[in-house]
Amino acid sequence: MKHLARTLAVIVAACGDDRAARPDGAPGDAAADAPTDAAASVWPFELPFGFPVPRLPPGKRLTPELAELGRHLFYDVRLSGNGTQACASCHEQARAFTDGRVTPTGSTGTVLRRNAMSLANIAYNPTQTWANHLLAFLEQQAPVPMFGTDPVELGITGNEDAVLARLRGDPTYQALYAAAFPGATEPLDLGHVVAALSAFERRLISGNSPLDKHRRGEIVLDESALRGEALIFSERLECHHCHGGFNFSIAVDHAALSEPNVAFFNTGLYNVGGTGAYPAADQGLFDVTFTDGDQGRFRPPTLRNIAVTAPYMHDGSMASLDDVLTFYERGGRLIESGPNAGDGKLNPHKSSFVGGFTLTAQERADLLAFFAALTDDTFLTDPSLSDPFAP
Amino acid sequence: MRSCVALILSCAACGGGDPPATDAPASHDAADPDAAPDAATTERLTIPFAARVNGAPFACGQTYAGVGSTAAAYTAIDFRFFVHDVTLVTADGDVPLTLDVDAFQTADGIALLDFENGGTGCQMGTVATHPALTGTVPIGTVFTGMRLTIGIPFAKNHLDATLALPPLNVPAMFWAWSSGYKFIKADGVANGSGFSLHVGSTGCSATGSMAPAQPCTSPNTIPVTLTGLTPTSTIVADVGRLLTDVDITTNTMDTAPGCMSFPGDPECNTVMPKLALPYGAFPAEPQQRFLSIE
Repeated sequence: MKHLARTLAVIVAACGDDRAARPDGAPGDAAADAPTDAAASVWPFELPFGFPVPRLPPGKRLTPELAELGRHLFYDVRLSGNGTQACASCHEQARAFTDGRVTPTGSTGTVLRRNAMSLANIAYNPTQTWANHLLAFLEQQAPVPMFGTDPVELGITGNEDAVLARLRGDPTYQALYAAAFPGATEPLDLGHVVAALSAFERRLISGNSPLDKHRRGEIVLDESALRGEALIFSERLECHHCHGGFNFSIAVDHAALSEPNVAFFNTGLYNVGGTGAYPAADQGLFDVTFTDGDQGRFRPPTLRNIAVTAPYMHDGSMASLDDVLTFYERGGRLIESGPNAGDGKLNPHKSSFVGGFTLTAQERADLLAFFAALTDDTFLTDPSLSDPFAP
Repeated sequence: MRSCVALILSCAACGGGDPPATDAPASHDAADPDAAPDAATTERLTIPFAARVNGAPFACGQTYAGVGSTAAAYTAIDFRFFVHDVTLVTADGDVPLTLDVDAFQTADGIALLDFENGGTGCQMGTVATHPALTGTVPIGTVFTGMRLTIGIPFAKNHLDATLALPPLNVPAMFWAWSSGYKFIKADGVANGSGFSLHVGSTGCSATGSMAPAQPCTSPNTIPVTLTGLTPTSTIVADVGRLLTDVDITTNTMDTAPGCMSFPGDPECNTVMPKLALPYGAFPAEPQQRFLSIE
């Protein structure tokens, strides 16, 4: 049974070679532009033991050549309007594709409101970004940093022709493009860029941490990390209700699921004025739905590589995992003064699983040992995911 | 009086399709155990279920008055449970109901009954619902009752849910390899905080990511016999009947919010016995109160 999904991926991938290559949709275009059939499951990359085959959106295509074009684009500062930033500027491989900052600064100097999320295993996300149930596919997410004007991230809007001229004039991209879109007669456009970036991002699979090696029987984890794992899955701490499953996030999707498991939770980070509100700059899912009760609800991120993705939370407002444990131990954050004052523990929209608990010093150490066991050094250093322009 | 069930129309209609996206091209020879039952000797049967809270129909976001020992207001957010080993009681003995295989029912006779629709007020729900068991029985089966077991059998309860077929891969219904699935997931909110009823196996000797080698000390699967079943019956599942003696407005610190089956949770003391399950020092009641025939 465990091998079924991997076997399937191989079989389906082998069947996919004869599919006509074709460009993907325009930016933000969710409509299928290729036939929807079994080949939609094409997954040409090896998956870690125990990982299911990700769901490829209808009509989307994934080939090594497309992903390789995407890798170059991901690391290329020429993709920003003023030529100063790339996707990788805020998503560094060594930090599991985060940036170590509280929140990033865009290419034109705007400080963004949200912490840069890890891109590890985003192929399994049912929704992308911190809190938007409408961004189901990577092809829908990529245009946000590319074209967004409030805030400006890559700042391509208004600079489309300049950006495309840089790329089209480079023989490297001419070759990569020809390989990724064989037979294409039109020049590289921004729809191709979105398709290629999405393909590369689907390659960002992390499943070779010490915990994975332990589960495969290759190593034996130390007792402290294993006690930490048991705590994560305990009905005392309740972590696993949001951070369970192979990707340590209950917000998960893959090809064999009948439906994506969409999940957003309020963890009691804020309770401005005791009203249940989060700071007006970012109320999470509420900012998209305007539905009462969605205040402060965010998608639970994966715990994989969590030890290298500080600072934490959607606004980067916690510096360390120790702080995060203290926060969950209390069952919400108390902010005593200032514009955001309020007791998050009492936020009426808070998940019932964030009820608080008390950790011994040993238990705290065990949890931190478990988090460390989720750091996948293979993923953080894999040359096939790294900067192709690096000297 | 003969039970009236519709004749099956064709072989293609009876199986509900093969499990999605996993099998090699299906063969339909007689030796194939997954092949559809012979249309000439079986007939279709649908057994509808209804989810209730103290008699009122369950709906996500709906608030129900008078729940629990303090007659509190309870806002429902989820209602799903697994059953298996479904058989019909007849004058000639038990007759298995061969479940259709689809997104909610497995080839080995496990079904997820799902009453939430993923809409406003639900939490981590799915759009699709499944408020009935569907399958086939030998033609002419005259039944007077039904047996089923709430939960997942041990042999299937501790496999890798990630790679399981639907509905055993529904993330919201799985705890971990060690403890397996949530057999019953009935979640609500009272007095501003959650009260979740999660019934499942406990006392399973394994760490978080490994399956237990030995059966769990508290399997918490619940065999149920329902008498008086007729072709027009509905089986009612009422979570309110399990909560009558617990104060759902409070939760003991350092225990799960509500009752999640694990030992030492005072909010389980009166709830688990009403499922005919012993809980610590609290003996099982002789009859489960969750399911009834209407």
